[in-house]
Amino acid sequence: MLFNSPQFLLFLILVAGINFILRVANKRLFLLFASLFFIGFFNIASLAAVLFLSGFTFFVGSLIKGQRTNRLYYLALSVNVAAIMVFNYFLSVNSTLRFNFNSVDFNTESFLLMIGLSFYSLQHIAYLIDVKKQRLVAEKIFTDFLLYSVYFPKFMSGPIALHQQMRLQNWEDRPSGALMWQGFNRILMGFFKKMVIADRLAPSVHSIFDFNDTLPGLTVLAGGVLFTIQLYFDFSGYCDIAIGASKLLGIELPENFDFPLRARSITSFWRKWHLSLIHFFTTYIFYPLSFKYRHLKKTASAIAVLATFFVSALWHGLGFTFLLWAFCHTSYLLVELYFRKPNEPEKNRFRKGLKALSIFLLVSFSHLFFRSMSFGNCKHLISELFSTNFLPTNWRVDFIAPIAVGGHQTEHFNFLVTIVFIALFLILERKIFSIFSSRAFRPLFSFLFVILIFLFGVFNNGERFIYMQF
Amino acid sequence: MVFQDTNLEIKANDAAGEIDGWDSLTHMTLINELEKNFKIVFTFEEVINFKNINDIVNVVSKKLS
Repeated sequence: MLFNSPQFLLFLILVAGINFILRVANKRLFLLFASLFFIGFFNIASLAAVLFLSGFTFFVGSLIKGQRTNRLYYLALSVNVAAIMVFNYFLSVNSTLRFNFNSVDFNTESFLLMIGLSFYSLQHIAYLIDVKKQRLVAEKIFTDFLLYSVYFPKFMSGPIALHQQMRLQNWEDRPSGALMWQGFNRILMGFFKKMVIADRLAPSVHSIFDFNDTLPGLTVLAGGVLFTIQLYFDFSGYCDIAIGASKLLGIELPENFDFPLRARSITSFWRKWHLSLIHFFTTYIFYPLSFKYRHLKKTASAIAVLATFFVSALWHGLGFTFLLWAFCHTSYLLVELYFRKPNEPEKNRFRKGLKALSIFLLVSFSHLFFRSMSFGNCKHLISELFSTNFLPTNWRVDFIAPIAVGGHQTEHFNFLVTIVFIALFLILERKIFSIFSSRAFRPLFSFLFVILIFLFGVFNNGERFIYMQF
Repeated sequence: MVFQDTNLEIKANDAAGEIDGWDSLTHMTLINELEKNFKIVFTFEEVINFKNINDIVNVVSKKLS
């Protein structure tokens, strides 16, 4: 049941409707069963794995006390790390699912099995560490623990919500009309980002990245830029749907993005991109390491950055390309750590824009590694980027064709419309966001976005969400 | 020193994100300088719960008294 499938919409309407009329006492159990059904619908083996992992983590969590349970604690941590590795690496090795744009080609079996478990296991790891460090009192009721772990809007690809965040929610209250309307609009915004922008860019990105064609450097750079935009709209669109669906049920999930493509330093980019994962890495890897070695001053931060990105690369996948991506960002951050002077508040709008653009290009460059299908593919792209023919000799054939036509991009007018929407979003996203939550504009927003999605959305090839593979 | 800005004015409620230069990369450098200057030792749990200047001042003054 992908978020952009008719089954999910039907499921969500049913669950939100029943949740709205249900008695207070039954709500938690109802949402738990809905979530287990959601997981079981994908694959019954996933459901079995989830019940085992949650059961074991809950059991160990309730036993953790002092040194005597150390062995059990490390065993539970290892089991959860192993779950991430098994589902992220071994079950996806033989599948052809990465960025394939023909949805029928998926190796569905292995793909469906691994869904969600790498996100979900991170929450267990955080739970165990927090209970062990006495930051959190272990959950006493198993069904509550299970609900916080498997809650369906966040299950597949986050946002990662820790137990302490889930515990504070108003599970008993009936969602207010205002919150539900907000949720509905948020879902529309998500579909718009996914279907009008991300899916429209997918064929262009595919045609630049996946064919080992000889391309001029500028076209490769454009590929990196387009993929950065695709990834942002795909993943933040996904999160909009997750957060919106949860609001319909009266539960607020944490935000995952804070307009990252406007960041004016890499440090600030990482405070705005995939926030819930960064929060996890900062709390459980970066801070413990930089605290331990704090007497080494900046070197402590450097060691911690290196370790954090190494783990992040491994979490994303077992590939040399992810390590290169991590190396790229580590280098950027170290340069900023050692050489960046604190900013005077920048007043000049042109210089502000220029800074944001240069950060955007650096991030796009790192995405050449992130998106490459293989190390060979990645080497090819980098050598094209730095080859002597940076500018295309024949613009139509070497630049416009791979991007706008690409052999796959058939609706040219819609592609141009998408480019206009991207520009509007990149410049005005914060404004669009505040308008859609204001009371007066809510109905207008819903009406407008439904029309825009039906007019310009991609309906036929239903790209799955990029972050589902992690 | 830590934030490389001699003109920096700090208010008690300034949060980590509001002072330019104070981010997760420089947080522990600040902690290390405080420990050296006041000859105190922080625990990890104290350090990760510092959200603003006020939190730090409270813990430091408690340790000094």
